[in-house]
Amino acid sequence: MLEASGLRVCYGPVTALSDVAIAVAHGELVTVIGANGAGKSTLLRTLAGLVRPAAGHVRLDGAETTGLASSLMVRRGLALVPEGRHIFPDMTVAENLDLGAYYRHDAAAVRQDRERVLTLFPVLRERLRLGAGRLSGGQQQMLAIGRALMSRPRLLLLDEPSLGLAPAIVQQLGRILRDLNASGVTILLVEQNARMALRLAHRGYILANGRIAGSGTGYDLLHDPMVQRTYLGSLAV
Amino acid sequence: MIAQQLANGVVLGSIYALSALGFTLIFGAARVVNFAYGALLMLGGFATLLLTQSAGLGFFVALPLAMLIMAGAGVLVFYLVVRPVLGRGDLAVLLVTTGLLYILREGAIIVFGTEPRQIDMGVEGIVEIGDVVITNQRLVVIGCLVVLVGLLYVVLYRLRIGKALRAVAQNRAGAEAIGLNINRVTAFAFAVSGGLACAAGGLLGAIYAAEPDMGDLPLLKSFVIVIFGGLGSVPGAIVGGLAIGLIETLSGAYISFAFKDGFTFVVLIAVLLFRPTGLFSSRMT
Repeated sequence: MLEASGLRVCYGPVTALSDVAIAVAHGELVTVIGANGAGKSTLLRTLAGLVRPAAGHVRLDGAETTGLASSLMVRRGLALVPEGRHIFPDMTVAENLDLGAYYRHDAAAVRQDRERVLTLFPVLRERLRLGAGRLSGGQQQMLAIGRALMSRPRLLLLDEPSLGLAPAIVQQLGRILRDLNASGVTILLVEQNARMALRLAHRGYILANGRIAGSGTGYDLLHDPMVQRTYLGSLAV
Repeated sequence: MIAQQLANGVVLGSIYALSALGFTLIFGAARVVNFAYGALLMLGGFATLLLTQSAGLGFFVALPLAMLIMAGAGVLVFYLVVRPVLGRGDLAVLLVTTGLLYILREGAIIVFGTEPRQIDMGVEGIVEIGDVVITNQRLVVIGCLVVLVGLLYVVLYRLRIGKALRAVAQNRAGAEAIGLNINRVTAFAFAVSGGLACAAGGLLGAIYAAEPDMGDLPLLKSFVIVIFGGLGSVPGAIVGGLAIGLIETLSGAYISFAFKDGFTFVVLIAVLLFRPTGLFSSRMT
């Protein structure tokens, strides 16, 4: 569904990604793990059309989409849940969700999707008229995911959704992502919480210093001694 | 006497509020200060003047028409002048818009001359309420503020593009992430801003006069109002505009007419000292 190859991204003189290749097949839940500053966010932002790569290709459903703006990628069925949530704090929860469906004109289907999102996140239904800035961190994360889902994406990119959330909420988030994936949404998940991500994912990539340093199934990576040492602490899984 | 001064202050404040609204919208959406705004206001005044004088239109047809033209001019300013230097630091935008301000003002002197010319509103008569005497022309100014603020709220809260504008103002990264076209939304903010500048210019030209430097003081005042009310805040611009109009009128009447503009800046210094984020939040709510 999504293929990227030879991606190189530079910020001025700094090279953030070099020769990165990654593929996500339809229906998969794929994760990219790596240390802080490894280039994970840059990779997602490049795939979503927010950063233009200096070299390389991005293809969505076989069509060349390298350098297409995010507004066009959203219309092609890709949605990004950005790191730090970035909801609209002075708008209501309902308005935030509506903006996620900005490019859609199928009002009936939008209402249906909104119902689906509110069923997935009942806390949002109770707070539809509340200012989004007054939600807790976990609720804001749910809203950010819900907002992305309102564009009815076939591919959902999530950037560090567990960041700053309490362990119980992280668990709940994991279940939600698994359910979403089971319902047919392809997911690419970037996480510092490698343990949670690898447990969820079918496959994973390891990003280190802007390069792909390894890949494998979630299970294999979870039990790989090098991965355990570097990304999971020394604790046995 | 005091009631009369209050009425005068509200009229002046209405024009300031309109001017500040256009100024604050740009800051809210694009996080840039558009110094060419003063020139847009002046051009709006002259556009209204030409449409009434040369084209012979009535004021209430000419002003909306001029606002549309200046909305287009606002979009041009964004795409031709501001956008090319976006991302090169705040100073770059400040410099190019200041440059444009001078070019347009000097251009207006060449084309229109320096002589002040009044726009004929076609409204006459006065209203007396108790001791207060107010011309119908000035009531029109207050009416325009009410109507335009109403329209602005419809645009920002009901229209799709208006909601997108608020989204960009509140969280740019979030707006980008959901694929809003930031350039198009910003261009829309410049359009609305151009229209509001024109409304302020047209009304100033009718109450006082249209002349090439008519935008200079409103630009400075808008700057003060927007800091006073909170950068990017719509209610802040309205309340701030009325407040500055009242402060100026009252201090001019009771303290010193010569220093009336100075009091505005005394207020600015006080606000910056005691409430640096302004009286309202900086986000477009």
